[in-house]
Amino acid sequence: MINNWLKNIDLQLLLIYFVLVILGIASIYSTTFDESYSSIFSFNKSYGKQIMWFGISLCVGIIILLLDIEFIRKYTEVFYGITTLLLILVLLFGTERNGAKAWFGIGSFGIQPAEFAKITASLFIAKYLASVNTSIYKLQSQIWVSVILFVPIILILKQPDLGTVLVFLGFILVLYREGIIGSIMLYGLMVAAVSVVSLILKDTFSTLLGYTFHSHYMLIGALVIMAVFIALGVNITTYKRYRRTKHLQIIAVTAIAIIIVPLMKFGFEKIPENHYQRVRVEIILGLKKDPRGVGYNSHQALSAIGSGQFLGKGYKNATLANDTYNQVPEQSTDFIFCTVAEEWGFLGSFLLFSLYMILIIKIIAIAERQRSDFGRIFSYSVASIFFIHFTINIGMVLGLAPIIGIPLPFFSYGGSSLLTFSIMIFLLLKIDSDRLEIFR
Amino acid sequence: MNNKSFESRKNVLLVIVLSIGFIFVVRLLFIQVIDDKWNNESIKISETKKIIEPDRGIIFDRNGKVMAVNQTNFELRLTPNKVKDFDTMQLSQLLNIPFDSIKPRINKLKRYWRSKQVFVKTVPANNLSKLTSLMFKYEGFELAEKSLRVYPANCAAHLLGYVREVDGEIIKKKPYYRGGDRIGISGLEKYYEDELRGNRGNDKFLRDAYGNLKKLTASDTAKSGNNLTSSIDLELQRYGERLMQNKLGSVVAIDPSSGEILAMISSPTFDPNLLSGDTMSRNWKRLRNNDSLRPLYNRALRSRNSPGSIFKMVQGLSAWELGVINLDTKIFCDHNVVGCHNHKQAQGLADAIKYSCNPYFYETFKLITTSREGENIFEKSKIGLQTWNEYVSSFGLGKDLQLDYPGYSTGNIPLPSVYDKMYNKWSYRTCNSLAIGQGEMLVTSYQMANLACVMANRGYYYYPHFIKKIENNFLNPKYEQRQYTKISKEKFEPIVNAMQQVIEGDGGTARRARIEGIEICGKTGTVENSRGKDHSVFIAFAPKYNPKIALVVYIENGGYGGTWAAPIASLMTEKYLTDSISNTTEEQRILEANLIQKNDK
Repeated sequence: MINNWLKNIDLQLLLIYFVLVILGIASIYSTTFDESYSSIFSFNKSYGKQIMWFGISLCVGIIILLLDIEFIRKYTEVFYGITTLLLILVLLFGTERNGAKAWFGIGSFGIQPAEFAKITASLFIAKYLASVNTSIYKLQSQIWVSVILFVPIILILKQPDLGTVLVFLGFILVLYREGIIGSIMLYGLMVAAVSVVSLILKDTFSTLLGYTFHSHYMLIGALVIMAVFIALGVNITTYKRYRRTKHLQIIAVTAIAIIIVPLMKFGFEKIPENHYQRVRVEIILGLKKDPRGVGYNSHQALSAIGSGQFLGKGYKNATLANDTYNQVPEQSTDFIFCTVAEEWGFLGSFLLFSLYMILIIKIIAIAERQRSDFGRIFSYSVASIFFIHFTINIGMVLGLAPIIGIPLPFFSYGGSSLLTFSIMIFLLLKIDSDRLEIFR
Repeated sequence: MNNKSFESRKNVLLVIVLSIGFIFVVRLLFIQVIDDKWNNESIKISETKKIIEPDRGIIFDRNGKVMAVNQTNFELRLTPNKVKDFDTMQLSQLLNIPFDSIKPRINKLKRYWRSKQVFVKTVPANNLSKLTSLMFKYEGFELAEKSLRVYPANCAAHLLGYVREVDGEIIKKKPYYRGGDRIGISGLEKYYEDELRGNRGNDKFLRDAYGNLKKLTASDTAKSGNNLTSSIDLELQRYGERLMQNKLGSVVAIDPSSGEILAMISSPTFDPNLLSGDTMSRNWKRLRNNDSLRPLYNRALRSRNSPGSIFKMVQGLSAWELGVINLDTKIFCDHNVVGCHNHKQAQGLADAIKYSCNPYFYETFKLITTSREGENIFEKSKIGLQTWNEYVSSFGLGKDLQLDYPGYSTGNIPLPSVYDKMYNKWSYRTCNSLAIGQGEMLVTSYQMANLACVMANRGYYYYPHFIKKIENNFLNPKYEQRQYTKISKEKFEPIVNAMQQVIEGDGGTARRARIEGIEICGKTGTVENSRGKDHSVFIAFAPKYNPKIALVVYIENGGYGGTWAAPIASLMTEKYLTDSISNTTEEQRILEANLIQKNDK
């Protein structure tokens, strides 16, 4: 048995994992590098802690490889329940950092339950969708999937941690692959667009036929009209037997969109006026202009990246993105890429991007070769989690997305995230190595 | 297995993933390689320069005494947003400013609440150490060194000039300068600005986000300005200024053997320290606007006057060189030609100079013009005046004498064109007052002093200059070249003898200028002044052989040249040559005299 899965382990994925983690620790070391500090290894320093977390991750990884995957499958609901409970507890007893109540502090270490919730949610969705009596086409199944996703989403929104919420929303990619009709994605995008538009319009009024409405009424009216047109379109293009389902879907999405319009307004206004995430969103939406305050992070990050130019300044030679110069905030966590870009230039950054692309494509390839629905769905979940993390983190650092705190997998300093991503990789390796034995 | 039908959707997902990767690479390419904006921005936020100001060069007199030097002052600066509550009473006492002016001062600076600004320009020196020890009590305040230009000799204001902080216009024109830099505005401070200034140094640092300097990346040391050794004799200068008190006019003394200017006095003068430090602009305005005697005006180098009778030597020598007279030519002192004072009939050119006989020189002027080749008297006069001008100019009169000083006048010896413009037809009679240094002829004091040098050197001069030595640099070689007149050397000796007679002979006009034991040669002048009392002028050099000093004293409204100008010249000569004064009664008379006309406006 053991020989079998050892033989079947995907060494390429393992290699990519090690390369990324080691490069990540090297980058963290570079940000904290200080000529006056003699000792190379120290638990007081962030890279020391990261190395320790790497050790823990490897231990956990080996345990996962030794476990029977059936055990994990069997207790998926329990794991999900535990992380959900932790998400509730963190709201009650957690410590607040950067305005988010997302941490359990244990000494100088902190644990983020939301990180682990990603794994349990992935497992749960995979298990649920793979079970015999579910189908993605059934409304009941769709509702259950939504519930599995929205319980953690709502709890995490409470913290609030926008980044992790976006990661959960990334599951829509998995569901797309699993056959949810493409138009659902379209609706999803529409809902997102409606949310954004409703935020932009939240304090404006429109005039029509001599009556003045709050702009939100106009928006809702427009949504209803759009829904009618889409439904008529469905009547023309779809077989009769599918029409009912599609109509129901349209009605559901429209209803959600209509509910979101005022919800966004009230929800948004609930966030304290000076809360950093509110201001960031407002800046991105053009509702507010304050580059000196919140735009500062982005400005500093882009300056550090720009200073790397083509070849970079060389390892440990950053003059902006490290702890000595402190020009980039959060440089060893969310903005760790700035150090890479400054020290290794465009060339190094390009190679790093390529490495991430290879990782994600590799995981998709692994997903596609799974014989079990469970394996495939879980693999796709992992791929989408990595993809969303990469997209939002790099997008934010490159000034293409709002500043949302979300780690770059394997690079950002942080024990919980390193452990979570490691567990995902090892689960993937385990499931993949077992693929030939499971026929389901 | 219903999923199989959706396997193609994996391609859509791959496309999404790869397009995100592509967008990021393109964006990164712009940030890092194609567009310089962010790299420039990184330099802006991560590098700072610390300027190291160079010391301005010191100016010494010819004997090594300090004339201009730098003094370190302390300035109190503040950053308004960092100021916490403090003991205003104590601060006002330490700074010698009124207690209730502190709050308004701070409020005024609050407009730029995050930047460091000057609160008090000069911290009183006697309270400095106490304030330094109490600085911890005044948060947001900071003491900063500031160099101040001072002139410890308290004299030679016109010569030294002054410095002040550059304004926007200067910064625009001269890229070296930055706000807060000082630049010479007049006098030697201006002319030798490039020598005195030095070059500032730069320390380049990498800084952190809070502005703390972290690492020195490049260092460019400051280069102090070059020290200058002036040709001025400080003692002589100071003595001359004392003698010229309460008189309008100027004195220029030159070492004829080198052209080095020993003293330049323009009276009234002022303390050069008035134009330095905090009160500078107020003082400048006061000197400029509220003083009818115009103390800022440099009479020695800018004032253009008729030379009067001292010109007769030039006139005589030119006539002799042109061959229209010789040393023994007698000309009758005809008062019908021009007025003259009562003197014995001159027995030749030397006598004419000794007695300062006006008709004699009118006649020589006539002879120069009429002896020229020309169809008629008008043409002859024109050619004659042209020739005369060449000879006279060769004495340095009306010529640019290449002074190392900004903004001096060159005077003017008229050419025929001057009269062509004024008259349709003119002959020598129109302009024969030029013969005795009157009329359209305008020269400056330094040119008259230079004329004394020409006489002292018997026929040549050096361009007068104020600087003897420049540290790390050479003096302009033009100051070492002899400038010859058109007069042959041997003709000077008899004239010099006559100049000695002016002082020592019976009937000489400057008997007051005699000094026991020194052979001094000179010539008085009394310049007619249509607007008031005549100007008193005297040029002299001494000793007669191997002369060490040649000078001019020009006193506006001083009357006869022999009365005031000659004794001042004599006192200064004696002071310079012997460092003592024998005739203290005469000295006292001069010091007490007040020749400034009360109604002069």
